[in-house]
Amino acid sequence: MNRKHNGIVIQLAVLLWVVTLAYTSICVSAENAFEVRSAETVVVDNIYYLNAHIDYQLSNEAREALQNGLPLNIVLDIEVAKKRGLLWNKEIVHLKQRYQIRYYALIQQYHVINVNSGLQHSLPTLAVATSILGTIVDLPLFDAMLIDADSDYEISLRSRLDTESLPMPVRLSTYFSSGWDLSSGWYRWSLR
Amino acid sequence: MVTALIKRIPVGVAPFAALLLLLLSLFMMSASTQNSTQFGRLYPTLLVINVLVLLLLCVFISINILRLYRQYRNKATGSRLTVRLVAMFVILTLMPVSVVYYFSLDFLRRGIDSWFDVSTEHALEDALELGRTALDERMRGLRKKSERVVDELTLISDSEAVHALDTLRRQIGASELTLFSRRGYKIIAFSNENPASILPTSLPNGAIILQLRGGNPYMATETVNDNDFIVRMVIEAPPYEAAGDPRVLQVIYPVDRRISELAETVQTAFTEYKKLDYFREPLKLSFTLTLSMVLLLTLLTAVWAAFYSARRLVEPIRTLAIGTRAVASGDYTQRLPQSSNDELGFLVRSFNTMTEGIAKARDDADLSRSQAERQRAYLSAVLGRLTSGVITFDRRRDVRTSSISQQQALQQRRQQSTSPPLLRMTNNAAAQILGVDVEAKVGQSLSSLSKGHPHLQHFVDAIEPLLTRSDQEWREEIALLGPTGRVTLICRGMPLPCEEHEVNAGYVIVFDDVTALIQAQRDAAWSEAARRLAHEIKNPLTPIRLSAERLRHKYLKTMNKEDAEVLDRSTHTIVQQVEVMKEMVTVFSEYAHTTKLQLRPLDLNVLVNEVLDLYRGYQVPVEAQLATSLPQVSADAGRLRQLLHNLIKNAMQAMVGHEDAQVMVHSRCVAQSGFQYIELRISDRGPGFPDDMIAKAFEPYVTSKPKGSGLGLAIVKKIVEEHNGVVWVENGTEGGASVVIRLPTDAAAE
Repeated sequence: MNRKHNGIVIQLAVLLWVVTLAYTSICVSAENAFEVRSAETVVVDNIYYLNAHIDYQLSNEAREALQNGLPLNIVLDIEVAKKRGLLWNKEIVHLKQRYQIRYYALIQQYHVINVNSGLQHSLPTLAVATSILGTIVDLPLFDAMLIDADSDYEISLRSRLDTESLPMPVRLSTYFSSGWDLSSGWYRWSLR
Repeated sequence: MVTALIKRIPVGVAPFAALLLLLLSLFMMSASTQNSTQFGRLYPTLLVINVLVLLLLCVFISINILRLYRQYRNKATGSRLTVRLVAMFVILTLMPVSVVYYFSLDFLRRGIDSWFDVSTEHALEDALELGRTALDERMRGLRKKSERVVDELTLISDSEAVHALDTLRRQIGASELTLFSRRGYKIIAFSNENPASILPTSLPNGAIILQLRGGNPYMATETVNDNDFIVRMVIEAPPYEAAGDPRVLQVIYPVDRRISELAETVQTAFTEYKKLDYFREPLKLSFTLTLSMVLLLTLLTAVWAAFYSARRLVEPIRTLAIGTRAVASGDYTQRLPQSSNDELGFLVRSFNTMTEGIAKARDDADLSRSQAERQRAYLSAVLGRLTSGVITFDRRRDVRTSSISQQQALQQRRQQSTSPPLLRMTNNAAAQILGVDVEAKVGQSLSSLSKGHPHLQHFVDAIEPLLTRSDQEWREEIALLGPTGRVTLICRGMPLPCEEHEVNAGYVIVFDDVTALIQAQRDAAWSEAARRLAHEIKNPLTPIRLSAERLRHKYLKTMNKEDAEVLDRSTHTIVQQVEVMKEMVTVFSEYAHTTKLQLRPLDLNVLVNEVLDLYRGYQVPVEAQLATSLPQVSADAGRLRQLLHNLIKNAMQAMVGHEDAQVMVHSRCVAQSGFQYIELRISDRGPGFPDDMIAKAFEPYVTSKPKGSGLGLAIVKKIVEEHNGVVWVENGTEGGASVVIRLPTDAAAE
């Protein structure tokens, strides 16, 4: 009787371990793709600005699509939420910063465009293009009036590839391939 | 009719509506595969919907398969036919769909592959290369111009540069010139072909600055707003008079509109081709997926439809089979639901009509059977209350099998007409009269009545020949000698009305026991005769005697001796005979008159002994064997004395001249049928009664003696009957006769 129980316990433990391993491996692969290295906010003239450094590692699938003339859209999600103790946080600001990166075969240049501002950079290599993309300097976030001096706030930052904007046939293959699941995961820090 | 139509609509429309929706969804999916913008966004939703429908169909089909398997295993009616129909439908669908799928897939792959051509790809690559070369060539020319400007800048101070740059820009044909300080990239001077602009269109980015720090000037063709090309050059410019800060010059040249257009065309064509090439596999995948989805949906819908239609087809057949089984097991109440107007519906209607007919016939048969039963019960109730015995006969045998042929039936009828008649029906009175359990003999022949009951042989012999007389009614008086003596029956027979083609269908015999009636009639007649005789004869006897005595008295003395002797003898004879006649008349009147009995409890043995004492010393000895402690009887002692005298005298007279004459008197107690009697038996050793006299021994004037009134035994019988007793005579096996009297005891009377 006891031996039987032990067997079941061991089997369950092994199953749990395998599931955890598989989950972490998926998470690791996702973290490896895009990663928020650092992020901070500064206040200048009652305006909160974001400075962040994001490391973009494009997967082979994304690289191949880019080389074949497909523009890739990268979305930066920024959320500011008020901490409310036992209750869930109350979201007060939600920003979506869109970037596009594309390759021009004729002039052999990568173009990084900030869709929100229309600012664009022409860059000779992908590494340079992603480093430009990953350097966020003084991105205005919100007015300090919006927040309460007494309360604690949390800022979450995430960078991800927008697969929904891909053309139809490619989008279908994104459902079946993990190479298209490019996201940094949420990076959180407290507002000063 | 209308409600039936309404009921049928949802059943017929629902699958078609579902099919239509499915087709619409598939069409949208197919449209979105072709990158149509309106459906493109819906594609994932459509995919999910279709997959869900697919799963739903799978569930439906699984349920159907499971249900069918269960029915098949339980050998449910119609399950085999359903399995066959479903298998047929599925095979019929699977084969063409599979063939179409295979060829469609093949065409699809070939079709997509045929879009691409190696020579086209080469041509596009070459065009791209050509464009690049042309742009590079142009860039090299522009670099020389730029270097000239740099050379001139060595002579221009930062403050002069603001004005000088405009001139220089016009000289070299650039669209924008910007001079930065190398440290911090602050703008020193700026000139744009558009005088309104106050800031450079774009600043050198980090990559350009890095490249410059490495000592290499930056030089590249860039696109602006997707379709315009510019050439950007960023070059280190020497400081003014070799003492100031080092500077950086950014020159932006516009690309000639014509070249820009051509470059754009080449760029777009190449990119589109590359995109298409890149889409090749994803397109194949999405087309294959859509096609497979269509195939699967079609196939599963077909399988489901196969189940649905097979069930609908089999349903009326199944209900028919169930109905047939119910009818076979005797349930005629089954009414099948009418499903359609086709041949199956016709079959169902015919079945319903048939079962209705059978049920009606059965009900009619039940009704007539119950009527017959009622009549039979009524008849037996009437028969049971009749005091006359009734027996019916017929020649029919019990024929229960209906499967005999007509010829067999005819042969049987012929046999029946020659076979002995069988007892069919009887009543309680018949059993009482005949003393036989006639009910037990039902179904047997007439002669079986006398088996074990020899006294009925005469009855059987008398009746049997009469049963062959089929034409008329008869009436017969039959006398039987039973254990209780002679029984007279009046029998009436008549043929029963017969069915067609039947000969001697049956006979009914009604009989009554008229023994007592006849006896009573005779007794009454004799009593009347005796009374009249006594009355008519007694009156003249006294005058006759007186006249004779007067004649004798008057003329005897006057006559001579001879005549006197004659007269004396004659008158003496007359007187004597008158006395005899008087005695006779007395006896007659005794017989005729009913005296009132004076019943007292008495011991019969005492009475017998008293009477026998009177006969002591007679020539004929009288012996008595009396049972001790007899129960008492209620009797008139005087009448019983007369009875004993009569019997003893009778016995003595019967043995006149016999040497070993002896009268014996026995008494004993007998219990029979729950009653107690005292039996008195007076026996002699005489010749016994002649056979023809035994039955009539107790009637008046029946005597075997030369002398006697003939009323002795008649009076005995009368006295016995006055005491509620019975009397009969028996001849002994070794000669001699016995008169047996049974009188009920007081105990019995209680």
